[in-house]
Amino acid sequence: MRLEASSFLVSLLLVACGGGPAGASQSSTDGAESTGDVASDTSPTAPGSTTSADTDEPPEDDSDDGTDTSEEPPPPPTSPTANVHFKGPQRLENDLTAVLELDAEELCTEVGGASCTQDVHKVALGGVAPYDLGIYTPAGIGATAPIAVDRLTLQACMRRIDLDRESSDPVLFAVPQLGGGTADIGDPSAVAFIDGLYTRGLLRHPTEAETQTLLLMHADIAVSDSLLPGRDWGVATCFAVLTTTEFLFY
Amino acid sequence: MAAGGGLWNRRSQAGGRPPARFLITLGAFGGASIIDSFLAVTDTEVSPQVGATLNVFPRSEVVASLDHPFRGVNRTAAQFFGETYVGDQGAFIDAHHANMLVATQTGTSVNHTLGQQRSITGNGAWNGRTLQEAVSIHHGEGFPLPNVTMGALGFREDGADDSVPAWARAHSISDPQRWPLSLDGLHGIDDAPTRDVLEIARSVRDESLDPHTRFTRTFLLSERLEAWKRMRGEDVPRLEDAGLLEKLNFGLDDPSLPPFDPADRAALDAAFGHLTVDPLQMQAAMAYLLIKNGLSVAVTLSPTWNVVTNPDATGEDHRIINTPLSFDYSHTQHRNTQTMMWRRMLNTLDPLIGLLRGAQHPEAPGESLFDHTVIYVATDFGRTKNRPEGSLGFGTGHGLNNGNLLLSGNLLAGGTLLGGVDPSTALTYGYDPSTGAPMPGTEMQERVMYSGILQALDVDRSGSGLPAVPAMLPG
Repeated sequence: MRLEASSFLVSLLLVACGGGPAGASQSSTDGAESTGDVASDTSPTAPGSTTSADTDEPPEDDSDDGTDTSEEPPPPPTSPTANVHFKGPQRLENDLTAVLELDAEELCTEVGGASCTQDVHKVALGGVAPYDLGIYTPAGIGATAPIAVDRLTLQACMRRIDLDRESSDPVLFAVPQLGGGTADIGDPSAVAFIDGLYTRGLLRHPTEAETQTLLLMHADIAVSDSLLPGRDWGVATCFAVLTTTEFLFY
Repeated sequence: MAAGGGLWNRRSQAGGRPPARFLITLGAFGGASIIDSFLAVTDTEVSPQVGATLNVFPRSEVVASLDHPFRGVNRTAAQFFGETYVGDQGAFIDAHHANMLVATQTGTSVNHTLGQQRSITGNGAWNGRTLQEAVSIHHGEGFPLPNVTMGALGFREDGADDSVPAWARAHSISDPQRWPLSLDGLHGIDDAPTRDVLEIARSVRDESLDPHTRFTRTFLLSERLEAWKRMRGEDVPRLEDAGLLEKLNFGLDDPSLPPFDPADRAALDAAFGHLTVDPLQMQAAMAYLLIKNGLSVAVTLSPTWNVVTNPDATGEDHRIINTPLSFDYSHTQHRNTQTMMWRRMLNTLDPLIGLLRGAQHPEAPGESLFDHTVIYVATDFGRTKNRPEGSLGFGTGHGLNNGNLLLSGNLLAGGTLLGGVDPSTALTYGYDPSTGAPMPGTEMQERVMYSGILQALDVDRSGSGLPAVPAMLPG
């Protein structure tokens, strides 16, 4: 499945933001200073709620030190060692339970009720099985690991979104529903939802382009075969953010 | 039954290559003794004084035939864990002797993990490359998961050859029943968004989010990230598009999952009697399905050191399916353990061979998968040969001297014994790798077995320095 309705708009937006989300990343990240607590800030005024697309202006520079704010922040230096690691089942479980405020037991279970992270996909995700199989050190990450990650995260996101939709005090997803099961992505809570996912999951605010990309995804889901496009947009947004390499590797 | 399907078709489009060959390694965990099976010695072959302190069998418990060089031990392990296990190696030999090759060898370690790993690396014969890795490199191109392991401990470990590409390394399956769930991102998840929605989200992630982050730019040189993105972009669609759940999911019966292929359902149920409770039978079933469906060329299975029970056993079923420590329970009760565990190995091999024999090789019309497969019964080491005088309930230690069983439809010199056993010591001796002539007083190194298996599988060994072992090949 490929992007349809929104793909052109996303492309335009990426150009407007200086070639990609990274151009706005530093601005958003440093904007966290004003929120105090990046892990809990879901207010409509969080960074990202006022967009460059809204104002036709380039992203603001974060430094606020009188320098020329019209220039694109320099790209980050490339790490010569690039020593990143896949989180593996336990870190993923820990992080997802923290980000989504779920108990480990309800995070993800497969057919039959077995835990995704502690049982069914543990070895596929690089875990060990010393007592059963003599796997004392993590096996290499194989071709099925990305699918196992997708199943884990998809189920975890479904749990959070469905709980929030039924709750008077939602943790992340408080976006009003409209007719046809769609979500009111024009409501500030939609941006707050995205910002909450980023601040909780990636410990930074989304860039303007990232926010807009995810908001525009609603249009694609609304014209798909989804029967609950608003709910599914919430799940898909959560899934997309929490399966980025930025979340899965450290 | 015809093997085949989408993955085979995709592979065949490349064309111009000989039919793939397959290696199934059955790890006889804990030390499967060849003199408790195909090279058994009888008490009539030695003096009473020698026989009383050697692991030799009453003549009445050993079967032999003029049709082949193998012996079989038909003895009953009575009151073993409170149950009776009837060993009937003769029946297996009668059915498969034309496809059997038994070759002696003497290992180099009595440590379980090392012994197991050396059984698949020939004690580092080719830079530490495992048999499975070598077979995957040669035959595994175009297979999504060429090298799959379900074995335990040393049978599961990667080799030490850094030049082996990542795709040829072993892919671990911990639970053959539920592993197929990791072949599709959506099946079996109740109330999940539709596949269209999942693909929209994946597309946004892969094309619009991930490529542009500062994280991605910072770690642009990461091979791990590169591999992850390659798997996500190439392997995931390939696995999901192949509809593998319905081809491999023999163990989970749930309405949220696509139904398992009914022909394979019937074949597996007819072949295996304890598919729902016996992990080794599950592994054997998965080995067959992986090969038949064009996913793998090297598959490894083994029991573990854990006891396996069948809580629902009735009638002639046994409550104890696997001893604690598998073959290594021989420390406590050698004879009964070897009887029960060899029975377990052969009762797993027999239906597996039947399935492979009954499936046509998609790349070799008129020939079966078994014709193009080598089954290698690897083990850690042998057992010590002596016993307290006259004892029948003795225990044994780890011993280097041993031998192995190999099976193939058409790739080995079937019905052949390479080497032999000296009745006066119960130690096995070697053979001439070229002619197969027995050579009493010699011992075979692990590298000979290693090389012979690769040779039978037509693996290019140029530059390896491995010895030629034409004696293992069919006449």
